[in-house]
Amino acid sequence: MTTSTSTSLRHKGKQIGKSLAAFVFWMLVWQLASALVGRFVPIGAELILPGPLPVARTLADLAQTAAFWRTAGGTLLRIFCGFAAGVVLGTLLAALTVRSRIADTLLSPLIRTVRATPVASFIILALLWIGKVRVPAFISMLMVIPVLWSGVAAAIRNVDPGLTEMARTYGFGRGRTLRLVYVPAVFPHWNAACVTALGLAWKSGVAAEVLCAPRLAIGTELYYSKIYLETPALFAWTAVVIVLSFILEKGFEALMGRWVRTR
Amino acid sequence: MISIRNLTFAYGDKSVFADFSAELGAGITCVTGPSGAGKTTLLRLLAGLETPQGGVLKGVPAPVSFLFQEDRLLPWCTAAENVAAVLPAREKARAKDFLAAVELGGEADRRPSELSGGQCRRIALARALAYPGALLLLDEPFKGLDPALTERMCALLRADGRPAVVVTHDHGAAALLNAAELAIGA
Repeated sequence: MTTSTSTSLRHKGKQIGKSLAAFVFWMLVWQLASALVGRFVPIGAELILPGPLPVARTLADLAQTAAFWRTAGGTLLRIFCGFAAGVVLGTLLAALTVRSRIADTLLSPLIRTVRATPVASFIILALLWIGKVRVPAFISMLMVIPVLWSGVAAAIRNVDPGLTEMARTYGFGRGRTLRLVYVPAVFPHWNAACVTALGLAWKSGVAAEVLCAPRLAIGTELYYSKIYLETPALFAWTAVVIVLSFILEKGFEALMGRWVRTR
Repeated sequence: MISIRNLTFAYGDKSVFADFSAELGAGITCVTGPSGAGKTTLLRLLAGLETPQGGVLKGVPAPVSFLFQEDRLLPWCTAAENVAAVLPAREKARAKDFLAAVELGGEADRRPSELSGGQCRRIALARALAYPGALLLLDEPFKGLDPALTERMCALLRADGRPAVVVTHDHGAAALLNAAELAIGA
């Protein structure tokens, strides 16, 4: 083993150790807070703030059922589809906005309005328009579009004019200019916009599930846990959302990292 | 033979050429003059990147190979990829030959950020030479090169044989290129 690999391994080990320590610290804070609530509210304290152990137990029980995995998979699929559609549309609209003044004049106020409108208004409207099954994916897409649109449009506008002039002088043509100048210049900004949008897609998508309550959805489970006052289940499903969001984000980063390396 | 007749050009209110005329031969012409005299602008006019407000430019071969005042290399591409970018698909492999000609054969896989200013300048020169332009327009091609390297790059340009217009502050380089001299501004 070379010195640099052993140093980087040691560094990685230290990082993991720090993250683990922070995790343990916040679990203890959670446990303490839950115990305090228990002292002041002797009956039904678990409804207000269940401790980490009951939540973990609920999660373990849930994970043993096939319905749990189908529910988690359903939400993951819905949000991923909405996110992917939003990324494609947001990127295309950004390119169109930069290319055409008319498109810019028409699209800019529309997308800014979408960004400023409360997500709950859209969820309720979409529920009336397209039915509860499609709403979560649609809402995720709607929240992703403005993020991609503004990030990518700004990145395209900031492409070094010296490079585009060079491409023109050397007769690159549209395809080569896109491949060699625009895509590599815009990619880091596109990637950053995607990571931000992914978080938004999750939050808005699950919120839409709560309000629409489709079959096989984490949001629907959250809704039921509110109705039946199953606070440990609420915490357990929230933990599932966090873990899935984390997995999707890391998966996306790994995919993009691999794409950059193979270029 | 390039003929420039009564050329007039201004950037906004700032006049660069007023009724300027000159003839450029078929060999290498070195354009000299003080800073701000319009040397770079002349190259940009010859390349068609600027449009004159008056006068005519006749006999400018097309397309042109332009070495810009800045290197304008693609920062995400290696040296070889930067040169290959201007080559037709079936000739991409020749990029390494052009890099070897500017004495950077060993740096083909490095990106511009990993190379010195003088090395980047030579990659940009290799790219201009690789592009099959009928006229070379070179803006300060020897910037950042030591005298020995400048001498070898001059020999390379002479051997290339294409007509060239070279902007340089280096009078020694003009002599090494065996070039006609066009002094502008005063």
